[in-house]
Amino acid sequence: MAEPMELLCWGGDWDLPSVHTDSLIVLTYAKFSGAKLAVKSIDWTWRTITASVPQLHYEGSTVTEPTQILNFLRKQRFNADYELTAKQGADTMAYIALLEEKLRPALLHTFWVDTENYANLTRPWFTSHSPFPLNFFVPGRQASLALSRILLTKAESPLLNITEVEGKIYSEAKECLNLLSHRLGNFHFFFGDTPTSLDAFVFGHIAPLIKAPLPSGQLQKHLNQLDNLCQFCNAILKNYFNASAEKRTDCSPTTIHDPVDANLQKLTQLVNKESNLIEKMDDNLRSSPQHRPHRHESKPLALAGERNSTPHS
Amino acid sequence: MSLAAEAFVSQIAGKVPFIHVGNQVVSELGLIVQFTKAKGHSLSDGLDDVQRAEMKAYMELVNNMLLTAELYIQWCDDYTATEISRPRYSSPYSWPLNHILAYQKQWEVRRKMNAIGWSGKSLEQVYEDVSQCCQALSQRLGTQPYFFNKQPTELDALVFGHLFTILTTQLTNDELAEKVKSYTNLLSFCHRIEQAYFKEHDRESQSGSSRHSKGSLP
Repeated sequence: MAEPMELLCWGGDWDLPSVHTDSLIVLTYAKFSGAKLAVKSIDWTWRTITASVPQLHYEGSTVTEPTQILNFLRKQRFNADYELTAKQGADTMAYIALLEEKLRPALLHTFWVDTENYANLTRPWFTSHSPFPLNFFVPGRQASLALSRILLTKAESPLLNITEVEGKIYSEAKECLNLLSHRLGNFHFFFGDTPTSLDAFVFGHIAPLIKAPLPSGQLQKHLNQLDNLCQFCNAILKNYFNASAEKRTDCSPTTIHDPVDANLQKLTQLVNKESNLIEKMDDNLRSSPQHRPHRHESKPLALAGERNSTPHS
Repeated sequence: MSLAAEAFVSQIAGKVPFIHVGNQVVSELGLIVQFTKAKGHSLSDGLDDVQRAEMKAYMELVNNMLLTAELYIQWCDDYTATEISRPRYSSPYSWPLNHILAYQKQWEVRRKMNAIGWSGKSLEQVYEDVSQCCQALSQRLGTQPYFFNKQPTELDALVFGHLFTILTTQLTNDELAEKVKSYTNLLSFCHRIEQAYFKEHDRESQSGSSRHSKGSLP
């Protein structure tokens, strides 16, 4: 038996298996294609600053970057795109490019550059999931990487600063979400009824935006208005990540069991109550003066006496 | 304005191409398209929402892959940068401005490549990416005359612009052009548009063509 493939990624929260977009893409694709991955979270290890996440280890080789990892999984015969036509494959590439160019800058801004979100949500989360003393460095480093990426790709000259670019990137992101919503329509997945790598990419980008409790999220509000995208996201969580979601909510044992058990318990309680009542009734009956069936054998004379006496009384 | 001064201004503003209409100047493809749409000329009116989404997606693919690959090959490949890009970029200016501007541009492009993760790529990988992008475009085009069947759209203009540049710019090696040429329907697409729309323009621009571009497609 081959050793399982090992994936390093950021941990999960807010009902998601991972809060990091790229890690989420790989995890989702693995679920779609049936690949068994041994998931190791890098939270609270030194890898938070050394590793570029997500990272796949298999038989000595290491692959990084979601597109490379997906190519690798396909070569290992875990292919969720098997049934796509050539044109659909081309469409997949195009839509992934659209996500990277239009949506990713706004996502980076929402989580890492917007001061309210960064201070109240992102930085505390990453600080609490990094070991000492890295917790001082990891969020800041990610934030500066995000900022430089936005400025270098979206701000055309060194004269622009972040506030001027903000309006542009948010309007492009909203347009991108609208386009995705139009393309999805009423279907379950982007290419009919079976999920593909494009579904994994879209899920990875929008799931953190839907699920994270952001203090200031104009993009989140816009996304919540697009019902079909929200349903798409929740359906994937329910169907493919159900087991892990249950473990994470930490329910008490009784509620995890089937409803059958609960019904059985109720039935047992009712039966107990009934039998108690019956016993009481029985006792009452036995202690009542009129019926003494047990005294027949022990006191035949008294019985006869009683029998004789009752018609008289 | 003299040509040199205009070129200087556009370099500082950084946004070529631009069109000059009356007293307005509009730069960048996206804004030019919006501007012409507002004036009542739009190519993508006949598309429904899903098709428009597809068109935008393909335009992003072209921008993401082809444009980045072009920049990479021009500025991050040392040989090409030294032999061709830096001399060409600095040609309108006198010393020392030409050196400063050329190195500044190179530094900027390398920073950008770093930020999006392309700096770790080798030239072979970049050629491979361009090939995949062209394959996607080729599959989308199929046997149709334009990407969205009968009418040309913004996507056709964008693809033509990039492919024409790749095919006609002389670089140190022709591997990139060869890769594009291997997709015959893309090649005939470029020929067709060149014949239909640029035949007049080509004759005029023969005399003014730059040092490193051949006049028309091979």
